[in-house]
Amino acid sequence: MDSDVDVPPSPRSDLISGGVWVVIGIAIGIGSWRMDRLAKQGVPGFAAPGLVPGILGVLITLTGLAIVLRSLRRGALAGAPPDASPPLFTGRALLTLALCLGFAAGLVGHGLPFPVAAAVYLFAHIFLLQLPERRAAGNVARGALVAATIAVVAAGTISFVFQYLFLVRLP
Amino acid sequence: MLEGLYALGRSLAAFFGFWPIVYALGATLVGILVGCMPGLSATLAIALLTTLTIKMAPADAILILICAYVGAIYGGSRTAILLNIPGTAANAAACLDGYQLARKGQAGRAMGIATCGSVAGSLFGVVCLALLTPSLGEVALSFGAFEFFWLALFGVMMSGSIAGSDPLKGWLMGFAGLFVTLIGQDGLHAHDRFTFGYNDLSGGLSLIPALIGAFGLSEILTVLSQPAKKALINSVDSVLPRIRDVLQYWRTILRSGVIGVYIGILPGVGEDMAAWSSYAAAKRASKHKEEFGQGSIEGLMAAETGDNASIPGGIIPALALAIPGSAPSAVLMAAMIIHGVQPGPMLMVNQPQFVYDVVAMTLLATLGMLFFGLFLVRPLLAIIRIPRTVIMPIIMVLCTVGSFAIASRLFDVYIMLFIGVCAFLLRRLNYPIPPFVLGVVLGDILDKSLRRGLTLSDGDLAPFITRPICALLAAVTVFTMLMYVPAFNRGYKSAQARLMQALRSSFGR
Repeated sequence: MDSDVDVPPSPRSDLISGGVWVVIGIAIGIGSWRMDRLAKQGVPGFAAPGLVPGILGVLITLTGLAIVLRSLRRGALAGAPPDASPPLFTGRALLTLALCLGFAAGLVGHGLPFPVAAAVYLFAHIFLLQLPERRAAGNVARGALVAATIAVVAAGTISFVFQYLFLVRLP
Repeated sequence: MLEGLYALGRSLAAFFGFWPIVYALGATLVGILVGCMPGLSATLAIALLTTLTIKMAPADAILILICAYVGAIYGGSRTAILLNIPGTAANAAACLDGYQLARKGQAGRAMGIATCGSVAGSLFGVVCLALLTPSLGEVALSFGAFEFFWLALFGVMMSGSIAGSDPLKGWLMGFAGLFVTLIGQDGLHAHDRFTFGYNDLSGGLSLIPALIGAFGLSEILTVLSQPAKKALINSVDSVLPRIRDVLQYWRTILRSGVIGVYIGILPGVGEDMAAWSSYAAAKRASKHKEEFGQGSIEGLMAAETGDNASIPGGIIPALALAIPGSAPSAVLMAAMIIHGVQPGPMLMVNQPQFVYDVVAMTLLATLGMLFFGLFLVRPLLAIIRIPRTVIMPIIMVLCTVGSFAIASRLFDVYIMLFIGVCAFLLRRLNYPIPPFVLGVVLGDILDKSLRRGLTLSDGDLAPFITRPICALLAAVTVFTMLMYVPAFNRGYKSAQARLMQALRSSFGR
């Protein structure tokens, strides 16, 4: 689903994100200005490799600045009203992020066969996400068994389909 | 004309064989399943399937991608009707009346209407695709670097204006997408830009892993950070549509088809806007306006016809101009390039048959959609009941394999992770992702067109605003941006009111 969050972010978070964009835009602008303009190869200034990134750097800076100014007008620095916007990371999102990073950047491509890495990750993720409900229902052991079964079947199927049916290399 | 019909006949004959039909049905089913699952978008379905079909023959691979695209947009109506959650952004308008019909015990009828609307819209779009693409391609042959620069910028700015609720953030995401695609070797002089001496960056950021991150990992994080909704309906009435429901609203179908195709053709606008515009137009024209939002068959029909008609509509500029109409068609276009098809004005010169192949593929997808929509409703409903805590980790494994599969580089997996985490944070801060996708796809065209144009004009900017099409595109782009400047907007509206007043008084006299 391509939708975004329902609650709009607070002016303060807009101030911070706009500020980050201004810094990024300025950095792009400086990087583009310093880039070799290939004048020695007879390339005119208007065809230099840094031209378009430079323009984009300026546009990003200006748009970021507009967001900063708008957030200030909406009272980003005034007092500290209760923040209605949702936190950036919930506990579940943090757990998901840690598990996803652990799988894709840690387990994969470092010697462990892919089906094993995928099965370990799937078991851990499914089991941990369902743990609160399972604990409340008093069937943690059953949850572990279900998670393990899904993990083994899904990891095996994905590996088989990619490698043998569609001839795609696995990491 | 006859030559076109002959080419279409050849394509239809080629694609109505056993294996193409098997591929089409399989891919449409996969698309519908993806669309059924809130959190998974048509864009992600196409990006993931691009990696899966990388070793297949180009025609088969593109057939699969188009069928998945059509299926995903259609499948999203299931969750819109049953959960009041649009499966894809394109189905948001279908929630209004579809969900109300489901609450009245008419979920099956609503799904039947959604199927009819989707099939009718898609068929209307297919006809337009066959008729308009060659003509637009012919017109585009006269386009030069100046026009392509404006088309690319227009697409990104339009997408930025419409996607999400904050145009400033939309434009910023578009600029960011344009910049990201410039990382790596410059297309004109092979000079490294922003690679910091890192060899893996010289080739640029791969599009598909970046999109898998933006639409896959970010969705996984978003979906799992929200509480799950339970399906409202456990049993449905008959999904076979009533002929009267369809015939009664033929005007709505036709109007929504035209709106859907038109909005699809506009660069960067997308299926969701097509659905909303069709819905609004149907409401304006309806004799039963009060029923809209309360379970109107006409409203649901309009929304679903509009979004599905915009799919072929979005493919038209992608094929003829290499400027995609929406985020999913941008990924589809990128997949075509990976498979050796070069969309753009020269397509009708170099590979004219391909356009008719795409027509045949979209037609197959439509038939697949009709088949599954009418006969496989109950098994499809089971998908909605699979817990997200099971689906999302499996999608993560697919995202990882998919990112790696394109070039067998772990670096691409890291790109997916980086873009995915950034996209998740940006979405939480209300920055829309579709303009970023358009930017990534159009960045190369914009960069090369601007510098080529300046080289041709020896640094003179005048041709960028004096050539007729450039002038039109520039005026629309600048006007769209200025409309979001409060002072300009107020001035424009007061001038418009004064003009209307003057006209009224002069006619009244």
